[in-house]
Amino acid sequence: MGIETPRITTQTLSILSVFLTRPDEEIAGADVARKTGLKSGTLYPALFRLERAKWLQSKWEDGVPAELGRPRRRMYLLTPKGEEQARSVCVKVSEMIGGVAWQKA
Amino acid sequence: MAKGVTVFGIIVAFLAKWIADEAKAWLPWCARKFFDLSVRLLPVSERERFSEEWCSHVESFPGSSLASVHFVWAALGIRFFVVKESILESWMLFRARATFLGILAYYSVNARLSRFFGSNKPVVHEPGTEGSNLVAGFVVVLIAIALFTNLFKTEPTAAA
Repeated sequence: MGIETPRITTQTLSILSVFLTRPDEEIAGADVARKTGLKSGTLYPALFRLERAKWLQSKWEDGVPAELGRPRRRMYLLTPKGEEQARSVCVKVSEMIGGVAWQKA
Repeated sequence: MAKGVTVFGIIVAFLAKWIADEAKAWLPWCARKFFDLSVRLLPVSERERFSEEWCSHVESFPGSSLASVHFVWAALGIRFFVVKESILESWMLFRARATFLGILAYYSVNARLSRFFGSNKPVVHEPGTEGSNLVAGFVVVLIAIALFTNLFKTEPTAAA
């Protein structure tokens, strides 16, 4: 049980687009913030929602903080379900925006 | 007049420098307090995970001390989501239980009434269905156990 589909906002879309450009790569929250320009107040709840909906999965980076010399990062990775859903959402959004732009042109 | 303005300017400059120095000295303390507050605002199950994750986030952006103010909003957002999810889960469970009890009550009352008033329908036992009541009873008990124990309760996300 739980919330199966996360709320799709422009912020969620920009987070998903970061993951979709490199679907097989694990990305830390700070790197997502750097790429999207989102503040942590928006970013982390969105990542949490996506993870709860099983669109993303996360794990701690390998290594011990003492050896790394810094706190461990939480690495996020797109799940197969997440990739499929994110692609379909992006296609829908681009179709909608494209359609409107076409009508206007 | 000019002398007064000069003295006022010196005082203002001195005060501005003093305030800036004080603010710089208090900034890490304020950042720490905001960070602690945001961790305290999180649901208990998520505190350990996010405190470490946010520590690494702060490390990735050196110099932005007051970035921890944003963590307060993040904590509130996560807390709100967890509460919403648990309310939704409780509501779904409540609906499932209510539906089950409703169906059970309907059939019990129906059976009672037909026994009390008598049914004009002849009872026909199909061959090979002798144990069907037992199976149905067993299924009902299983559904009741599933609904009224914590079988559908989802575990909080454990930090892997």
